Amino acid sequence: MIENKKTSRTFRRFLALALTFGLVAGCGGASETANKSEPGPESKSEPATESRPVIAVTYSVLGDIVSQLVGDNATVTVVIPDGQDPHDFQPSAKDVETMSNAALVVSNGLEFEEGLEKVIENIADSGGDIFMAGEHITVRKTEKGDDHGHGEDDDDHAEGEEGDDHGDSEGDHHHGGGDPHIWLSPATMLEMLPALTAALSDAAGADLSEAERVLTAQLEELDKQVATIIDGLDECKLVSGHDEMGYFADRYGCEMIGAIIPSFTTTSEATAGELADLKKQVEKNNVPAIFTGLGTSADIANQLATELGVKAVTLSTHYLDGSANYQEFILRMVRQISEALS
Amino acid sequence: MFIEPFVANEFMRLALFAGVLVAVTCAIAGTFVVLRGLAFIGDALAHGVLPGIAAAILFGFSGMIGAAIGSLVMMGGVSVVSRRLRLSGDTAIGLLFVGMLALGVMITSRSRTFVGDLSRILFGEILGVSIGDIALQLGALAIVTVIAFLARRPFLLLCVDEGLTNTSGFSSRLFHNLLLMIVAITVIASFQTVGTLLVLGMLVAPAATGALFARRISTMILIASVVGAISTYIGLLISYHFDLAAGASIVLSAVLVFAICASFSEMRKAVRENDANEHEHQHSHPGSHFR
Repeated sequence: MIENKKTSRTFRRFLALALTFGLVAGCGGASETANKSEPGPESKSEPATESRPVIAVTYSVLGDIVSQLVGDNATVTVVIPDGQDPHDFQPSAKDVETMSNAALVVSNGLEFEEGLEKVIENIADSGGDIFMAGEHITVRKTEKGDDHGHGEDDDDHAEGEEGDDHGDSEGDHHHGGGDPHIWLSPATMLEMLPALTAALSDAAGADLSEAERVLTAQLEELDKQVATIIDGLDECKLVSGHDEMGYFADRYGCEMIGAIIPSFTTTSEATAGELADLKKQVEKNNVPAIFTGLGTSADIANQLATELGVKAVTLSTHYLDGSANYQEFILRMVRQISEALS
Repeated sequence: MFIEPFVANEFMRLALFAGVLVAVTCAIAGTFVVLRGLAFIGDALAHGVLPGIAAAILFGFSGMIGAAIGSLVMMGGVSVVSRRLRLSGDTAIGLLFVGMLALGVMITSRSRTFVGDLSRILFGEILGVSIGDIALQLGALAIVTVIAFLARRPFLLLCVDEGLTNTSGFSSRLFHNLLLMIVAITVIASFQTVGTLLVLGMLVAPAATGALFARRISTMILIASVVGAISTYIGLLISYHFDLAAGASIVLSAVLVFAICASFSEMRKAVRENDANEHEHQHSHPGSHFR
């Protein structure tokens, strides 16, 4: 089964790659540059200074963390525009140039930016500096049935075949590596902050320890705030678009019931068997809402929600989506979760 | 095991219903595609709708309308290149095919608000079919059926001999374009279920299976419909029990059904030839095959 998905992904990648040539040849840089510099707060604090080193960050959530650390010491450029799915984003020639010329490329690294992997690899091969956040945290790897270990009502899971079915099908489809959705838990971001600060200090040629201190304090505070909100819920049972809430659930004591696409990446597809399993789990656990978002079929989520008589709530988990910064992004997501589940 | 998934899940029932509608629509259009050798332009149309759908999602109008515009541009472009510039139809289709596909990818790669990515258009979302989608598919089936029924004679002539069509008093160009329109409608109606990349399989495989056994167009459409419907059922069950992508499972089932039927038909032919040899050619079977 896994091979099958890999094949289709390889094929789609091939397709995308083949067409990227068309894009590179046909599409001038002007409109893209304009697109690129719009999103995120980092562009606002970006006066035209050519002397400052450029730090390229793959996606906006991580980009904001980097911006908060470097402040005015460097120009931060986010490669994947908000609204694009980071899991299968394909870079333009301009993107590759930006990343190649950057003093430092900051990426997630846990096979998250699948379309940028090759580019990042090439930059590293030619001696460019790469910071991979995933190398500096405790990576969450889900094994069979591991999803059910936490949470309060273990008896629910022990009783029937259905629970086991669910565990099996989930385990089968997880991406080979670890869970890349590290940013959804502020605690995990805190874990990699010292390493990131060190790398950024080198690239920017500036002492960033004060910024680090401020951000650390803010993230610790954020961590507490999130815990308080989630603790206020009777129970926190999550059904997500793809398997994205792992770090969050582990940290704040939520239980992951399942996902529409039970995979760490959105480049997999939903299957009938998995949807049927998910349906059973949602019914059994009395989950009041299912969360969906970027990279998940809205049609499938809505159809499933209608069939189950629950809410389908769109959650922004992969990009800032207008939030002023990382802290606000997390708080907004947590408030949406709390609202939908209470 | 074979019925239960459909009884227990509404999404499975909707998927099966939509899939069967698409199978029947594809059977009608596909029969002419196979008989007239339109598979390549069918494929081109299937990809030509991409930029239309992408633009539709980008600017917030109906994907169906976008797809319709895309296929019109495609057909018009092929006609202009092949007739005006006097390049072969093959070249014209190839040019437009790749051009439209690339345009589709470019639109999707740079649209910030794009909710469904390219793969969902290419591979379909049969598990997310809604009642509204089914209504649209019913409409498409009705249109295709009516056109095919009314134009059955000129269509048949086109499939046999283009010159004959003209001498019989029908404009071959008009009916050829009408045929392409049927294919386009089918493709547009199918993009929600099996997706624009895989729809070609539903157009060609069941109709080709029908061509193995049928000697009349109506029989061929009937066989193709049944094969398409069964493939949809088998494909959904495979997706359910083995956790595989639904659209691809359906199309692969259709291709496998063709392979099995073709082997069966070849075996039968071999046995028959053997018999004929034994009887020293006492009975000959002229024209026992469609071809």
